[in-house]
Order: sequence, then structure tokens, then C-alpha cells
Amino acid sequence: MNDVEAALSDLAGRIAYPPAPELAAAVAARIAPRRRRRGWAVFALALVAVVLAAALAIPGARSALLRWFHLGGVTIERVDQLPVVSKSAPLALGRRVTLAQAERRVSFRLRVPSGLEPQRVYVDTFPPGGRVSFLYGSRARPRMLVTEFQATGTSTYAQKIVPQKGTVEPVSVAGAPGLWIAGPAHAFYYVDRRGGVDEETLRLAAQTLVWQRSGVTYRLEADVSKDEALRIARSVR
Amino acid sequence: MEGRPLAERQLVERARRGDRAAYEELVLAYGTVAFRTAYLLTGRAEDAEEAAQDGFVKAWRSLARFRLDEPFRPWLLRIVANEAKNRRRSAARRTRLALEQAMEFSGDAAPSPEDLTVATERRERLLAAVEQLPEAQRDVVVCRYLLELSERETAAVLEMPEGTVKSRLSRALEQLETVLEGV
Repeated sequence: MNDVEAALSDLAGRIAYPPAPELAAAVAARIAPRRRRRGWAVFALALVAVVLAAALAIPGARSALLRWFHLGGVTIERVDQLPVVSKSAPLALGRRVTLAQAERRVSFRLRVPSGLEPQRVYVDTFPPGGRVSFLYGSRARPRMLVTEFQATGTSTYAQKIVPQKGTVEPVSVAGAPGLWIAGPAHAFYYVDRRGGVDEETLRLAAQTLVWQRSGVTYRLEADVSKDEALRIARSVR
Repeated sequence: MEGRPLAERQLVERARRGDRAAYEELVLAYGTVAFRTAYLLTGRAEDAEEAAQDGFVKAWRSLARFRLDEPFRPWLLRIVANEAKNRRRSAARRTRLALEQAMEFSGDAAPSPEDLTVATERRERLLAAVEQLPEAQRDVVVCRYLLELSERETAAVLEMPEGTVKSRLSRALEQLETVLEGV
């Protein structure tokens, strides 16, 4: 190898590349069978509609729709039966960026669990104001997901369907109102930027803590106890 | 050369049979090199992301035509490189390649700050010279040295005979040598 070749080889490890985008989720979404995906959203909407109709049409009928919780942009519905969702649903978290880039792209101040530097940071332009997700662990083996987005008390940004066996418990996160959702996996839906209903993965949705502070909704998903989730949530600042 | 040839082969076989999870593993394994290949060819992160993503989707649809006795990486990168070349913009719109911040050294063996500056300047000049090569030579140099592909892989990715890779490399190296000598 001559000098020039050696010098070129030396360059190889020194190029400043932009952060690699999250291709796996985007590719998985594009190669997924379309019909099933669409069908799912329609089914979810239909289910919500049926539940609502039942509750509204029959006075006092609360068999299916047990209780509504509103918290920031997240609406949680408890229904009798949880729909079965494919486990291979991709994590739709947006573009992978650095923490500093994420801070520049959203209109609210990001808060990170203290002592827990996020391993992967994603930013999405929806809902308005942006949404940031901190993924801990790898995409293949995620351990915790913390999501932050701006939401007002009246807009319904997301809907959760919680099985009757699951529990939804009001909690306080250092004085901020929150909900602890535990139990079997629950579906998580959100409205995408084109106004369509989209589903988010169930992989991390085993235990969820949602809370709101200063107009920002925080969601923490991890397979942890309530106390542990609250401890982590209190450290988010 | 391929890191985990056995695992890769099994994943490709499973993906060919329609196993999306296996294909997602391949995307995870080769996502970074695919994105970097596209970035070096297009010079823009947005174009590179699109090219890499479209490349993976096209590769999935073309898996039936992939021969299992071939290595997967150059086959995939050829598809990504074609997507990238289709998205090339004018030279003015390219982001100039930059070097990572130099690592800090410590201890007795640490080079002096002056030596570090000289080395950094030399690298920057070489990188700028690579970017100014005619496109045909630049592509070959980028694949062979910056992506560290073999000559055979470079030929496969850029869809040209190995002889063409060799001749373009030798012309490019002569050109770059004059830049380095002109210190």
C-alpha cells in the first residue's frame, strides 16, 4: 500500500457522517401488507364508535365503556375486550437525531430522566410542536420509551384501549397529575400528520405512566413496577 | 469479510421466504453502511435517507432474484447506490464531507498540538481533493477507501468490470498523490 492509499484508508474512520436514520421501522412499515394495516385502523375506529354508540344510546349503559380519563392529549378508554394486535408493528418514532438536534426541533423544553442519558432520540413533527421519543436499549430489545409532546387539555391526540383486567390509577408525579396503566398489553393509537389514525407498537406498552406538566404530556413505557416508574418520572426534569 | 456470513445467509433465506422480521434484522445490520454509501454518493443526508430506504424496499421486492451463493452486502449496496445516483444534485448543493473531531491523546506518546494540526490539515486537504475528482473516479475512491469495500465489491456496487475499477483507482491515486506531495 502506498502513501496515498494509506492516507485514504486513514480517512475512512474519520468521516463525520450525519446520524444514521432509523431505517428498520420505515422499511418494515413499507413492506408490511397494506390491507391489514388499513383494516386495523378502520376496525379500531369502528370499535370506538360501537362502544360510544352503546354508551350513548342506552341510558346508563356503561357495560362496555367503563370510564373515560382525559389527560393532556391522551384519552384512555377502558373496554371489555382488548383487540389482538400484531406484535411486529413497527415503532413509528420519526427521525433519529441527537439530543441537541431534538431540542432545536421542538417548541417546548425537553426533560430527560436524570442520570439516564437516552441511547436513541427520535423526533417527529406531529403533533404540532413536535414529539420526541427517548428509547433506552436497542430497537430490537427496547427497555424503556419516554415520549414527550405538547398537548392541550381538550385536544384528543391519542387513544388507548385498556382491557378490563388492566388497571388505570390516578397518581401524582411530584404534584403533576398522572395515570398509571398496568396489566396486559394495550393498544395505542394516534392521529398521524395526514389526519389518519395510526397505531403504535405494543412492544413497550406493558406498563405505562402518563403525566402532564406545563402543557407537555409525558409518557413512560417500561416493564417496571409502579413505584419504579414514579421514581423515574419524578427524575424527569 | 461479511462479519456473520452464516447468520446473514440464514436471514436472507428466511427473508426470501417472506419473513419480514428476518429482513428487519438485515436492515438493522446493513442500515448504517447503506445510509453512508448513499450519503457519500449524494452528498445530502435527506437524499441519502430516501435512497437507503427505497433501496431496502426495492431489495425486499427483488429478493427472489438474489442468488444465495452471492454475498448479500454488495448486492444490496448496488441497489442503494443506484437509488443514490438517481438523486444526485448539482455539486453546489452537496454538503462538503467533514472530518470527525480529532480524538484527544494523553500521556507521553501523545503527539504535540502542532503535529496534530499538520495531520488534520493534511487529511482535510486530501478529503477536499477526493471531492474534486471527476465523478467516475470519485465514486470508485469513495467505495474502495472510505467505505472500505474490496475492489470486487466496488465493481459489483458500481456495476462495472473490476478492470475499470482498477484503472480508475490508479488514475485517481496519481491525481491525489500530487495533492499530498504539494505540501
